[in-house]
Amino acid sequence: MHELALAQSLVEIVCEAAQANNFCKVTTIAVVSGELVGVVPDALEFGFEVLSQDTLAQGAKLEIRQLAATIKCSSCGFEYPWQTYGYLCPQCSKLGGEMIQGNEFYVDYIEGETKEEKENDSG
Amino acid sequence: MTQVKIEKSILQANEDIARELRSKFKDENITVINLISSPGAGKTTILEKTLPELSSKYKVAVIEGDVLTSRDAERIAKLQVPVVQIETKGACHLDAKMIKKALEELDLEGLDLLIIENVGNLVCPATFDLAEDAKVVILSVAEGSDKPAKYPTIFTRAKACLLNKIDLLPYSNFSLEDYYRDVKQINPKLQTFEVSAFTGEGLETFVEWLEGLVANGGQENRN
Repeated sequence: MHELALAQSLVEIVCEAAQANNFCKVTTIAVVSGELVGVVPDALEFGFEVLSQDTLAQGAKLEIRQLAATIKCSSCGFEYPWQTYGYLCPQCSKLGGEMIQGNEFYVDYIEGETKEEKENDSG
Repeated sequence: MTQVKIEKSILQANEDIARELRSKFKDENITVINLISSPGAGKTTILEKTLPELSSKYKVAVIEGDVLTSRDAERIAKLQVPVVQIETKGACHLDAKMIKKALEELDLEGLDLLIIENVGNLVCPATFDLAEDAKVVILSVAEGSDKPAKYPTIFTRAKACLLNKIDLLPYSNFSLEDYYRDVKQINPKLQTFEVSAFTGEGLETFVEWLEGLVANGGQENRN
């Protein structure tokens, strides 16, 4: 369980980007999480809620898109889930191949209200 | 409402330090391995049994990671091998920043091999790059042959796997057949070794593999 450390890093990345883009509030954070990173979404959300208090990211909705670890067969090119078949191709029974998805862990985008938008709304 | 594309890795901070360390290790020609297993699988005992031979051939240093105590470092220090203990005080894994700090206490001059013993945990250490050339996972017979299938991530990221405590095979229901079927399916490239740190059986083949790694600047020699 290291989601707290990851949540800290997440809050830092989001707040830095929010500031750089003149946000006064972040409403949505889209995170992409590969299966092999093994992040537990509930634990990450909990850590995020705690650590985002009193930051620009407070109250933002965390949308975590999980990507299944996927192997591409080196022989027939078939793509299949590593979780079910490991590296054993269900199509041609070739052992091997390359993992083409599953190691990702990044902030995809953030959504929020910029200072200008807020002023325009209230003005 | 405004949307801004970020596409920044959440592990970036760790990756940045790992990259810096990797370049330092490359400059100094140091091979680095990251030993990962559950608590009690035999990481420290395997080191105690292999370090005398390794340190007769190479300049070796060890970084010991534990949640608490410096007991493991004391065991390694008895072998006259330079060792630094990291106490994580609760954290379930080592990260690159901890390694960078530990390196301040080690003399890297002329070092050939750095062995990092991670915190006993089969899950979290798999996520954090410590700038190693190879992750080496250790499984012990008493844990059961179903563990690679249950904790596949570390087995897919490791270059070598030691099955330890094979002297206990006659007294357990560990199935070598199931074990090899699963590890080969999870990671066909995984180098496997059967060892007993207690009797010493099989350790010489693991030491030979390590020597190959050191001789090839951290790369595996598969010829």
